[in-house]
Amino acid sequence: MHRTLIVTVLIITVLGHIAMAAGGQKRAKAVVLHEIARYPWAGGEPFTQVGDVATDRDGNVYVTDEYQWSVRKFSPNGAMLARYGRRGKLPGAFQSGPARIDCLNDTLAVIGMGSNRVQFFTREFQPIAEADLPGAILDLALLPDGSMAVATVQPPARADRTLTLYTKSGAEELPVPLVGQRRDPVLDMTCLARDRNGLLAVAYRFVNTVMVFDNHHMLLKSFSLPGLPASSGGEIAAGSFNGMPDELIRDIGFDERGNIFVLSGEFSAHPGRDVFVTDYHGTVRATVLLPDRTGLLYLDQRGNLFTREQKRTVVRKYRLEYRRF
Amino acid sequence: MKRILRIVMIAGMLLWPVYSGVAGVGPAATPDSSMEEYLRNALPLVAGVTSGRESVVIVFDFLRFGCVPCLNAFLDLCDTLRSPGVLTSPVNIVLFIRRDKESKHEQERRMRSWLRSSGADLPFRFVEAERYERFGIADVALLLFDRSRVFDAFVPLPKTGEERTFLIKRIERLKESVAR
Repeated sequence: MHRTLIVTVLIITVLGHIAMAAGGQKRAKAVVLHEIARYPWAGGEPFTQVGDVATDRDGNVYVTDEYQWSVRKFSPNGAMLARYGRRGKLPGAFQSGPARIDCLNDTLAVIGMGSNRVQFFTREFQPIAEADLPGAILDLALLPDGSMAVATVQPPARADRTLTLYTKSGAEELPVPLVGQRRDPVLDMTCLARDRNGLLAVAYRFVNTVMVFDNHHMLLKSFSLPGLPASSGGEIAAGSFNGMPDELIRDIGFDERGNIFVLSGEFSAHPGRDVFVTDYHGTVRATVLLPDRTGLLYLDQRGNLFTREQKRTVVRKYRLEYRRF
Repeated sequence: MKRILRIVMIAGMLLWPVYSGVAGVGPAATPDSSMEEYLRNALPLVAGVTSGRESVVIVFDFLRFGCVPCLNAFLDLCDTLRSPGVLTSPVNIVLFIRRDKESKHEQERRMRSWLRSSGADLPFRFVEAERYERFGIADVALLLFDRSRVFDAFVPLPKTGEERTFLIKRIERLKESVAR
């Protein structure tokens, strides 16, 4: 009798632990990708080297090709609508391959590889204006108040200008202080993302620090990603470009729910494929494994994620499905 | 008898490589083992190359062509050499590009698209990766060949207008030296 009772209690206890463990797993948050479009369509002229992606308020997709000196515009489902750009020095032409692009309202901003020039266009690729900024531009985010946040490469003496707000005419408005700057042109390299409310997320490429600024450009929070080293390491002399360390963070984006997506670099379990999904405090809510190694992560505020794949020759669009968020 | 035959067979297997090397029997040594020799032999095989012209051959790995100044220097050079009046007579500008891992058809398509977009629609040929690695090229190699496809010189990729002018003068001297 006693033996039967003891065995029964043990069985119930074990089953209870198993159930709790299984239930805990079921309760884990997840973000699942569902491919819904590809650019270009199979059989279409491939990209030579995709630089960046942007979308407009109609869901049209703009993709820069750094080696074809052009920007292509696609419908949301992938039909090519227009192609713009040529190599050259005339107004509206690209002196270096278009690398970065952003779109807000009816304005496109395009930046060439290694360039300090921002070229503005309408959504129909009518040139509007150009602005030359001090320093090679790494990334740019057009802001709702009409200004633009620009990350540039700066020498140590001007490190405080690494992230600066400018007007569209190129006039400096305000430098934005970064957390933990090294005052080194390489280690201070950053990538940017903007959400629909004008919040700005900034991540160093070679240092494990993500910063979130409010729409008054005040620091809300900075955090580091778990499981990644504090920095890429390697000896980089101040002001020196002798060699580039491996990237720790490759790109960053906001979804429409206010989550921050951070694409990891060489130091995660799946280099160039692991994406950390965090809240503004840096709490990791989920991780996503992209199907292909990439250096680009773009979220369009409509529940879609874009990456460049196959050695930067195609862009894929994924619908995000959130589970237990 | 069997023992003798066995000894002869083993000796033959051991000594054959020595014999074939001395007698020139067996697979010939690679005739184009050097980069210059390889390119000299490959030039006539490239569609669009005109015989009887000097050739400027540019060898590179497209996937490593990420340096913006290098890319612009390459394109500016191509523009310059093809501009009317720069040279007394046209030269071949031929590209040899390292084969990468995608299908040959796709790589050809991508290269053709890139060159056309860049205004440098030039004849090109792929070099197999293994052979390319043996060339030992760090980034871009530029070689000059005279109109008889005799190798003349390695030249650094010009990055400034002055360096391009120097290259143009060198090409003109090459034309003159062969004409004499």
